[in-house]
Amino acid sequence: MPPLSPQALEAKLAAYLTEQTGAPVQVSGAQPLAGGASRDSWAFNATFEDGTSGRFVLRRDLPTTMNEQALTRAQEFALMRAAHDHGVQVARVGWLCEDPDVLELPFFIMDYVEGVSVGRKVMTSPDLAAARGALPDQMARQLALIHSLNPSDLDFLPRPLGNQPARHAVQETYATIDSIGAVVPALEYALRWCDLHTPQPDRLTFIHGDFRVGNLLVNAAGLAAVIDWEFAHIGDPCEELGYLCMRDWRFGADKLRAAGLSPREPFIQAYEGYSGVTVNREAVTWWEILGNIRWAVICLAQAQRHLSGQDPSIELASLGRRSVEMQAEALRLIRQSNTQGVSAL
Amino acid sequence: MTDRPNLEQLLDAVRIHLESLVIPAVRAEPKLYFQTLVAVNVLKIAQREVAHGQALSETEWASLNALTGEAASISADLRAASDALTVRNRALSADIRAGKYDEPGVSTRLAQHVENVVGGQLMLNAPTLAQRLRAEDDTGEYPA
Repeated sequence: MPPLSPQALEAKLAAYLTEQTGAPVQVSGAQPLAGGASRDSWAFNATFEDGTSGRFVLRRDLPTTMNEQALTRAQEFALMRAAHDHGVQVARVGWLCEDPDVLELPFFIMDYVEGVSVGRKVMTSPDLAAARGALPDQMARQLALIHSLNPSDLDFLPRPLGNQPARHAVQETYATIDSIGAVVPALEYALRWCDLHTPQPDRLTFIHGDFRVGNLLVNAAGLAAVIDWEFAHIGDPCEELGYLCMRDWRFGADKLRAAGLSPREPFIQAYEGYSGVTVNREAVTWWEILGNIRWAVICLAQAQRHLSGQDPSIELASLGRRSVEMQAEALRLIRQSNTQGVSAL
Repeated sequence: MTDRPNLEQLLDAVRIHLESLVIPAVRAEPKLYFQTLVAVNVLKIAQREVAHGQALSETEWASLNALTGEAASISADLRAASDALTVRNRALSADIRAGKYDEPGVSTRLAQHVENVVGGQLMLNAPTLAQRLRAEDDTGEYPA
């Protein structure tokens, strides 16, 4: 599928929106948005017959799938709408189209939200210094809200086997390792350790699945919108708290374990304050370790796409060599957990 | 043997070409610019592997011998050594998954082995991160 030119996209979107609204719509200013290796995203302006206008974002599938566990655009559309209705800071979604005659692949359209999503920029931009101060509390509040979404309205969300998210995650990771034929004793050791120390979930909730700096739109006031909902699932909320603590998601601010923005303990306490739920710290650590192992394995799986000839890419090839970074981190966290004792998991 | 330039120097010539001529020329194309930065980094990894890869393989081999109680010798042929390491690591991986390293004593020795191996690989693939991690270990000041 050839890439769309901005002019071609504007014409197709104008026709689509005209049909959807039943009145002429003019589209202009289409621009590809940076980031998002798995989806094609564009910003554009639309002017409606009543004279109102707005800036919108198109989010469309790409022909190659980065991750087969990702939700479809229709599912992502449904849960973003549910999250918005629940009061979560998320772009309001407008139209969903699964007709291949329109843009060849499924897409949806949502309101444009101004903000920076590039992790390194969020962490270093002088303009966002105040935002970095506000973000930990805002993120804790949003997470508590996201975890209180009612999953019964979203019955398509993946659920862990036997309602055992930790065990399910370990089994899935073994399966991925085997599917790509990876031979890495460090990963085997780390995963075996996780298998022997799986925490029991205190509760199962809606999980965003990729909640970190890099998947938040940030403006001068802090968190403007939570984006990239395609890995949402049902799980242990400790998974989400541990995930955002991963070193790779600190974008160089190593010392601050919670997203590179705050020490972990005050962040967890803020989350407890908003959610009214006590958090098992050791389970959060377990999920941080498992998150590193999973990311290490995904790096190898991405390199395999290059090595197999399916998707030749210097970026994918280089990801294979990044795996060792997350392996090292998982081993360090396990060493620290062993030193501190993990009997209470 | 053709060693003018040698393998390391050949890689360096490509790296210098990319850094001095290609990167400035593609700065206006964000995706290609980023991909070329990645390519330069990949070349630097390859250069470090050329310089230190064999020594790392020998260290890993000796550590495996110590862990498993074997006394096998590593092949002088790089490809054969790499293949043999994969065979041994496959056996070790299967043993770990089968629970043969679960007992505390042997588990601790396994942990030291994999930390040493990964530490060496980190020096090749992400030397800046390796330095940051070592600084944490040296000072005992871990992320809070």
